[in-house]
Amino acid sequence: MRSRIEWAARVVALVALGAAWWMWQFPPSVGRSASNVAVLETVSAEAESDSVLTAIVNTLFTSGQSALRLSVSSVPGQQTRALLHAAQDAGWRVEWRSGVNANFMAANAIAVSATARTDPDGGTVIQVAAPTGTALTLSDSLGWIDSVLVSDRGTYWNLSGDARAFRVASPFAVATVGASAQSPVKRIRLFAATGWESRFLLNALEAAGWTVDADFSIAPRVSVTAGSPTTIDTARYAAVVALDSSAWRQAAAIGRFVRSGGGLVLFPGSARGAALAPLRAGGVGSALAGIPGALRSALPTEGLAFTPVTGLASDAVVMARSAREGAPVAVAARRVGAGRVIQIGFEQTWEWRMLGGDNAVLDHRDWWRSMLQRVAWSSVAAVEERWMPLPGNAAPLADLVARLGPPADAYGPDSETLANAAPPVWLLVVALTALLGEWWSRRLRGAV
Amino acid sequence: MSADRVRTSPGDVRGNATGALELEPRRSPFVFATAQYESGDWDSAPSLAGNIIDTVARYTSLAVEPQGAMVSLSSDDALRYPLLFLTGHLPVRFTSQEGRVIQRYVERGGLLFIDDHNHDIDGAFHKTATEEIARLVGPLQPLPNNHVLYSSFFTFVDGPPTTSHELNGWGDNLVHEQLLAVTRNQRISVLYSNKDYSSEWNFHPDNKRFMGVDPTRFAVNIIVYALTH
Repeated sequence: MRSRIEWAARVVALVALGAAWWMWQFPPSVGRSASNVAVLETVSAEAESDSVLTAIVNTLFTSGQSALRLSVSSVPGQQTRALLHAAQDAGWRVEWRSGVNANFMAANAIAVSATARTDPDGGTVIQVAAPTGTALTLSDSLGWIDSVLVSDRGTYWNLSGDARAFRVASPFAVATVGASAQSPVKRIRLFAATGWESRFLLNALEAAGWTVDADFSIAPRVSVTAGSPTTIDTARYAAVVALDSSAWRQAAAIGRFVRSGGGLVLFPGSARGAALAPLRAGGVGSALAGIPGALRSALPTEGLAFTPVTGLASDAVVMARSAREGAPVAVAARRVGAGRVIQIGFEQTWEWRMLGGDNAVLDHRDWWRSMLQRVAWSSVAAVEERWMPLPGNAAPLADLVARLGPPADAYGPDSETLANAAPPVWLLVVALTALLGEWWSRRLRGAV
Repeated sequence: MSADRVRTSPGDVRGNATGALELEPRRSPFVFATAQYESGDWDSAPSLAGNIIDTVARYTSLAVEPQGAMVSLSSDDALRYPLLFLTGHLPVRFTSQEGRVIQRYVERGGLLFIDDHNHDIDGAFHKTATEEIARLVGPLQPLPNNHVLYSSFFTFVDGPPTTSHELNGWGDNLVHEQLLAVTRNQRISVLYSNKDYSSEWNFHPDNKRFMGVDPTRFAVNIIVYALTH
């Protein structure tokens, strides 16, 4: 009889140890801990299915627990985050922790912004901050658009078309973002003397969709007017392009225009004088001739006459440098009041269009388009600067942290975490008791 | 001469808002360029360029190079001159290289102004030149006489000004009512004339002062149009 009891104690101990090991390795998806905390397994960002939301609702509302702990391998989707946030606001204790890797925060942090291009053809610029090496896919309502491997902590897409809502997905998070409608202002005011540069600039901007207002002086009291030049203000113009000293007489009006949000493009001929000096990004250096043959090379702007931007203003930002010795500044920009100024060192850009490579006409137009996009005034800016209480789905991880707080394991292990992670204590107690009983019985009967 | 604006060469010195004098950078002057081509007689109007340059300097404040340029159509250097003048009496057949340059020139925004020195719609130059332009660029179409070209500087209400050579007994002895043109993106790319401006504008420079009406005024319109459209 005693021998059978001892055999039974051994079996009980082995079964208890096996069950403890099993529950340690394969904890239940939703269970009840000793502290009335429900544990919910991985929530997938990609598959924000009804089942996940149903599991959360069931856990919170039907199982009677007062707290919920999420163990996630990727950032939960927008609806899940919103539901958890609402539950937390309603009094439930909601915590989350990374269930897969210790580098969860760094691996999952992506944030996306979308800005309507200030361009007559519309389009959107999408910028993404993401860990280097992250594979990203971009899609809109019609499907996939592109995929890239992030090379330097971020990437961007410059998209044409009317799409306004986009989705950027990494293996661990999905961000969605929408761009506001673009500004209807499509006019440019050009100040330039009559010449090939002004004529080809006019052609390039009009080909890019801009309406250009200019008056070209031909003779005393005779000028040729393009468009319908009028008072310079942000209600009429997105930007002013000042090629040469023709703009100096309007310097005061241009200054007011820029400070109230307008864009300004300065060239050496216009930046050189004192009239527009308060607005410029830097000084005007000595003129250099274009490098022979460069117009048909991969760096066509090096073939243009070039006057470096020197002595940058303290708040100026270098946008481009020349490939010449010493890497002189070719393009610099700064903010002036609410507006932006870009100062360009290249001159006679029409030679690029006429003498450049096979795509010179399009390249010249697109280069000018990009210059205008950098400064052109847009009413969108005011909309984008509105206060946002939460990051939203443009930055899913930041949104999760803002809603639920940092992950529980970010503060180190706590007793509940350890309790949930360890095998059930009562099973170990049962196993230990059984083994002690079996050992005590054998000692009483003198067995070895 | 006012105190705040003094015109000098090569640049202008002008006053700014603070009263300080500033040197205005020199502008790239306009260069009147004549196209050379392998076939025919491209240099049949040797005095024309000088007369046009004189006219531009006389009526406008545009910076203009005092010497014209002659540039081969078989060279990419032609692309340095967005307005090119081409004339001749003889049949015109462009070489393949000339054809490529002309196509590139037009695609990139140049304006090629061709004048039939024969003023003869049945002449060799007209037939071959129009064929070549149609082959390389596209068919020539009549240019409306109310086109902006005729009011870009001087106003010519009846369209292209008639020349004294149109009814001189040579050529077709017709007054050609319209010029022809190939347009791209609403701009004139090739302007073609049967008016024989090559003869009308090829006078000895000393004779200009004896003329009641300067016959070269229309050239200013073409140049201003090319520089502003």
